[in-house]
Amino acid sequence: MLVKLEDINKTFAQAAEPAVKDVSFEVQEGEILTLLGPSGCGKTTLLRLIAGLERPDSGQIILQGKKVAGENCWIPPEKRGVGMVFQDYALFPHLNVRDNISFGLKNKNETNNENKVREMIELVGLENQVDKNPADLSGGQQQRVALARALITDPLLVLLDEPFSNLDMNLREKMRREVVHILRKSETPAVFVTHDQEEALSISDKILVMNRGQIVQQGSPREVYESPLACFVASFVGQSNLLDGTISSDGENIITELGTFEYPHQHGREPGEEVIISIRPDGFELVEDGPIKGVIKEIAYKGGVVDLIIELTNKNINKELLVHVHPKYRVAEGDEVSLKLLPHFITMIGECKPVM
Amino acid sequence: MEASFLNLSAKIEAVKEGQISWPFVAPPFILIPVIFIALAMSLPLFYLLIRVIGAEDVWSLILQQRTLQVLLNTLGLAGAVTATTIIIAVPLAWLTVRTDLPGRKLWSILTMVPLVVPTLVGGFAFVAAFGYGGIVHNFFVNTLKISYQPEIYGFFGAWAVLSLLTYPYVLLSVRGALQGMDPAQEEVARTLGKTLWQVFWQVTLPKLRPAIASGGLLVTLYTLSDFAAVSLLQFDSFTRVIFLQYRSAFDRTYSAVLALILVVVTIIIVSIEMLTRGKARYYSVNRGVKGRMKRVKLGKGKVPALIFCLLVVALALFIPVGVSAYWLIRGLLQGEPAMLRWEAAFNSFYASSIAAGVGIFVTLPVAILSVKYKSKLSSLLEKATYAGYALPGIVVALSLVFFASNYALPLYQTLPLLIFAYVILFLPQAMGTLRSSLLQISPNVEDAGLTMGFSRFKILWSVTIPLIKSGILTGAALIFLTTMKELPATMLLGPTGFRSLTTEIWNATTEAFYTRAAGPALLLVLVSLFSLGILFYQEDREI
Repeated sequence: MLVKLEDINKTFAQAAEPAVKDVSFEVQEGEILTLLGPSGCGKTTLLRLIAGLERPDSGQIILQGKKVAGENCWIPPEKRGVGMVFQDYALFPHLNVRDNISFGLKNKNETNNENKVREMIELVGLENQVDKNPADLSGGQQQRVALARALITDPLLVLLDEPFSNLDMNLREKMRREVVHILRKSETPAVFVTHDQEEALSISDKILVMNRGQIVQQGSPREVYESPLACFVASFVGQSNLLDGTISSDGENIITELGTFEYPHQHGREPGEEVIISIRPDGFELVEDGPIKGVIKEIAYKGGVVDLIIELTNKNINKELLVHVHPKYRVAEGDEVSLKLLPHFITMIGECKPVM
Repeated sequence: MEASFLNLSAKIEAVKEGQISWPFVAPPFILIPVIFIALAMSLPLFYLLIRVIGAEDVWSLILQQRTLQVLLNTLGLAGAVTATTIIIAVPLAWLTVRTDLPGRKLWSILTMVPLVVPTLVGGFAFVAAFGYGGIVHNFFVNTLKISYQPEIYGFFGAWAVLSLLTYPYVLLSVRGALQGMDPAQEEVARTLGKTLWQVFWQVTLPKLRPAIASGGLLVTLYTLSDFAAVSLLQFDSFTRVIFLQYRSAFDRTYSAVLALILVVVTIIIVSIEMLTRGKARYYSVNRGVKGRMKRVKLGKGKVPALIFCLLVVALALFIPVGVSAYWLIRGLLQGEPAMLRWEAAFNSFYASSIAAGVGIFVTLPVAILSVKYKSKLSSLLEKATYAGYALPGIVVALSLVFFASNYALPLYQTLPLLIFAYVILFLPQAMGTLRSSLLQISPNVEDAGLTMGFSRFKILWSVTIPLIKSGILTGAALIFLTTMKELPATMLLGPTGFRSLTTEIWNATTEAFYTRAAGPALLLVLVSLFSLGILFYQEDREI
């Protein structure tokens, strides 16, 4: 285990609510983990706690088997060997690219250093920019300098705080792949912080979804997306249709106003218990004479997918469904359509009320 | 003894290892020096308190009608001077930084140059031009045979001289803020349909508020503690009354009482400023790269803008220099020996250089503490270091004379004690520029250094100080300049026979030997000019 956080709490002075509350998680060797949540949910604070830029009020942090923060224990950031890439990159404006990158090298062995800096510059592809000042670089180039600067000391892990949020869309996609590639190539585990769910889903081995200082769910991108365990996750990571339901008497079906659906998973609920289910918009298919009928109220064409908002007609509920369909279907507003639900796109959410 | 020492070093080790948590926000290498500095800076204040508390009939002394009159005089003068300097400096800063004013570069320099005219020289020039036996008086009496009483003395004279000579402090800080400002926000306002004038009022001016406030604070404090101008122009504000009281009366307690009231007034002003400053953040959260700023085209506004600049420069610079030159030439023509004392010039230069070096060294930790490690303790310590500036030079000098003659006799009338007084008096000069440049550094830049394995102390040397280098040089230049102009502490604390340019001018002016004051006055202006040159060279290099 590379990093282990146990019951971390942190409340800032003059703040009513804790920034981080009872957070525990682990980062494995070689893993890319993402902290995903809305702004102000405490994800950056968590990152700064790992780096040692903040001190937890309680709980402990263990880096490679060594306790770095806890009761009567505190290792300052400079002795933790953790690299960090900041949202604003925080490049040293008084140093050129080469000096920024080599800043962290302490070993005074000159030739060794030179090789290392050259390797790192090659890794991030900045061979032609070494003598420039950070101010003369593009956003993507500044980003790469920041990454190289963080990687050159061979850190245990790299922390990246919203690293792509200052880049424009085209560049963001490209840099995302590039950064992940560089991290994989240098075999450095990383913790990303982001509020962009698409970004989290595409780069991570593991996602931790955070809300109001707490971890709401953790798992692989597929688990988090396909099986959200809380309403917050269902609506923050991707979009979701939330419905009330009841467990059937045999315990293997869920009865909802949309119909009765098979749910052949372990759930530990009693028959008759009321639950909430989440159905992803991708969980529907347009079919002839399906069990769910409705009228298209709105259409949003998005290229690879078409978003439909459908008003139900054959059910006794006043509810609209969000449905993703393949663009091959030529549909228009006001069309009557019928749908069926695909198996395995339904998730039971136990404990929360639908967010309205 | 040895055991307790071992204990202490064990404790230090424990703090380093994190077993004992350091209870303060600031690291020890910042906090501990600042505590010592704050104590040293507040030494004169303690003496003052002891003097006043130890005296009999304190309340009857305080409640004299004279006290109220002096208080009103002083506050009126400070308010009028501060308002006037802001009215002069903000348009000047905007014109010289943001517009296509013809000769912008030259005006940038000329409008700043009054900084090298000490109020002592200004006061001398004003008196030597318009006062008894001055140029105008002589002309009327001798040539036109009309005799009259010059009415320049009192409020008007003190206000005019102080406003014209202190506005560069506001100009300096507003210029700095304008140059550091990201033009994107103003451009955004333009795209939202605001006119140039509305942008200035609604975007630029609010962003300048901290700079105006810090420059204005300097002017207010300067006015409160100025001695030379109010004394030469005979306006009864605190410093003059304190000095007269000290010189003439047997009992020095009333002068101590007045000084203490002045200190209280200053502390109130500084506190208000600190309260309103709030949580201003100057750094740009986005990319650290600033866009190029476009200059505003003045068009038909060029003529009034030029007249305004010319008027200010004429009053603040050409009159003092011209009058000094007049008296110098006149003296030379009449065969008076040129009273240029190289010894005095050397002494002034030497003492001021040391004061600038020591002052910066002492200010830096205080500025870092107040910007990077905000807490109740840090704001208290910052206030303590400001307190010295509140004390008029004469009071600092007196209290140090007392302190040295009672507790540190070998230091009495030595250069180190004089330097100490200068540092107490002029530390806040460097504080403003250091604070501003520290605020420009995104906290992430220092944190980045930490995560790369450097201690806070090393980050200070390899990141923070290089980034605020220009602020350090500007601050040192400001301390140097102000020290060159210092009079009362130099008079009282200088080693026996120590002659500086200022004591030369004071002695000559009070004896109405205008010709004799003219030489040192011009020399003082000239020497100070070099410092300003450094300051501008620095600004140029930053681009």
